[in-house]
Amino acid sequence: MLEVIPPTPEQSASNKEQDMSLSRILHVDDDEDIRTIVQLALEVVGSFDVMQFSNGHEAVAAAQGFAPQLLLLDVMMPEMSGLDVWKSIIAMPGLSHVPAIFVTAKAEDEFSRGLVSDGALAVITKPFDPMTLAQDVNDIWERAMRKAG
Amino acid sequence: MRDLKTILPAIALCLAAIAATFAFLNFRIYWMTDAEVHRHLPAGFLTHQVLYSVGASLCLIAISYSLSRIRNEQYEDLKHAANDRHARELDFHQKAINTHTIVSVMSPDCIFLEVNENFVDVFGYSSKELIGKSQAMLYSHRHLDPAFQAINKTVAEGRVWSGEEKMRSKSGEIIYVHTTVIPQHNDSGQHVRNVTMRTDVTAARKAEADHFLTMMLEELQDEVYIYDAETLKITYVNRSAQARCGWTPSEARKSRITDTAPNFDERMFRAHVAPLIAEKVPVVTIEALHPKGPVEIATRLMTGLDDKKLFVSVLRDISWRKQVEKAKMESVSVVSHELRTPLTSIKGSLRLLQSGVLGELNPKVKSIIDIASRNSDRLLMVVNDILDLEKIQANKMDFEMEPLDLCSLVTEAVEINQGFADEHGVTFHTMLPEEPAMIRGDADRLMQVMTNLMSNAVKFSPTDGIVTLTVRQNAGYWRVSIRDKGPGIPEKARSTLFKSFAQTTPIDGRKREGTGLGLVIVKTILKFHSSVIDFRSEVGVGTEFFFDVPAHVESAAKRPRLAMVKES
Repeated sequence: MLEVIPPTPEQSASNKEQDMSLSRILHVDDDEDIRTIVQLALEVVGSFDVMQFSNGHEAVAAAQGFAPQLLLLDVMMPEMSGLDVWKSIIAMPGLSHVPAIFVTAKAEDEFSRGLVSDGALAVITKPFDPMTLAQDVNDIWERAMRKAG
Repeated sequence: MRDLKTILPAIALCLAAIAATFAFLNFRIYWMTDAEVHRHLPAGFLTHQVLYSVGASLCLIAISYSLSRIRNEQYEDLKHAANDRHARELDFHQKAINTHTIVSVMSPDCIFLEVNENFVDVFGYSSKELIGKSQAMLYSHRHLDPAFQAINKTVAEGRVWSGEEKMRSKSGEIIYVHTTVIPQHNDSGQHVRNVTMRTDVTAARKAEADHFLTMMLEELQDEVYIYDAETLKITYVNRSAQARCGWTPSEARKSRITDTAPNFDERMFRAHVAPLIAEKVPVVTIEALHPKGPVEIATRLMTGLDDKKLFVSVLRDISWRKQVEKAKMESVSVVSHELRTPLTSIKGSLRLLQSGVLGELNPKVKSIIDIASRNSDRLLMVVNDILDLEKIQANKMDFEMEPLDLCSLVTEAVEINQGFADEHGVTFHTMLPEEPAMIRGDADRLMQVMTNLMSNAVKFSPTDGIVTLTVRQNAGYWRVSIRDKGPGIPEKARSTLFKSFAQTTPIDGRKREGTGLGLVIVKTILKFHSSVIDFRSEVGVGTEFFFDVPAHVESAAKRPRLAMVKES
């Protein structure tokens, strides 16, 4: 078992102080190992509040209760793809504004461009660096917020 | 003499007439009584009669002799006439052979003794150049040529050799001949010479080859169109082409290449083949979507027999190839996903462990984690390079061309590769111009180029080495160079360096990590930027890789984006 070093109370408090700052991320990936890596990367390294699911149905069911600020979605999943999950969540009352960042192992540029043109904030290609993932996600979020005004 | 021969029979005939007269008289006297003899004949007549009989006998002998002579003369005349006729016929035959045949007389060891005019005409050598020389000079591979070997063996055994030979004229042209070599022996059976008669069958062979080629063209599944380069009027289409267009051969000859497809854009076609006319390229190729499916058309410019310029287009149905490419890309995509997902977990776990966020590691564990991390990086590099190569081969590598500043690109490349340089104890040194070095390019792909060249330079640099990155103007281009002080690249490696899986053995014998695909990918990416990668190297001193990208006049610079993250 890995020994997890939790974020300090100061770090958590600082993250939740600002409304516009990113804190709640809903992550969906059918690969358990990837979920573990992402959890460590976002919670331990990045101090975000992360809720994880292994499939789209569970994520959609829990989305309203968690009220995520950002979705981090694996693209290729059985039953519901990442894009389907996002479309289902933004169809819910009060969550229509929630942006999504997609994570994919697909190497084709065309595929990534398609997701961005569908409205995704960004596409992160696997394998990603867990030590910079939180910073990358935060940078993308802040740029999107600035752009939205 | 001839006159005498003519008169002699006449004289003989006169003498014969006289002899006959005397014989008649003798006959009359024989039947006379003595009284009648004394009454009618003068005294001494009988003596005269004897004399006359002798004369008559002589005359008969003369006649016999003359007749015999006449017969001999006639025989001699006939004999001479026959000899003359035979000589004329021989002369005629010789002329006929000389007119038709290439004749040479050779010594038993194949040295030219005589050649006829045809030989000189066909092979282009003068008789002076041939006489005294070995016939082997007319074969490309004299000691290996099977005909040459067979001739020598057969005639040495005293037999006639007959067969086809492939020979070479003075100008180097291949000449096919049908040859008969007849060995000649003297009275004592000694092999004294060979008479060789050849017939030039080159034209026939070429005609056969032409016929064969035409047959092949007709049977080809690929469609062949031959048409005038100016008027675009068709001169030949093969059977497959006729089938696509629904033409008979005579209809095809009345058509133009523009009639081969609806909406054929002649202006675009002329632009497409312009490099052929300008002799800039030997062939132009285009993929097009024909109503009957995707096709690839390769066109060449040829010169016809009448010096007319002709286009030869070969159209290939690539429906099957497209399906295979699609399937290949799909499988690549699957492999990509299947390899990258576990790699994400492996690399992510190792990275978290190395970082210490999960707790401090003891040095032994850390060294093992470092090994695993290095090798997972290596595995990812292989996967990425193979995927890129697949994209290149399937023509699926995308390029987002936009104005960008090479100086910014190089600066960012230094930041990205700094960690790798630090690991090897290497320092980057940049020499950049004051003004932006604007080009049009794909920032991500050019970053891939820079990362590849810089990581190579770092890998081959000595510890504490310096890798110098330079951007400078070069006659309408911006030149980027990456110079290291490594062991250098031997010149013999130049031909293979930019080929797939090419890894040269370094001068210092130390093998570096790499897939052998990096420079192939670099070369292809730069090709899409109208640029060519090249290098100069001095063994023991270092290597400089460089490429020139056309300068872009637009002044607004755009910062290149991160290679890994695509932003909206």
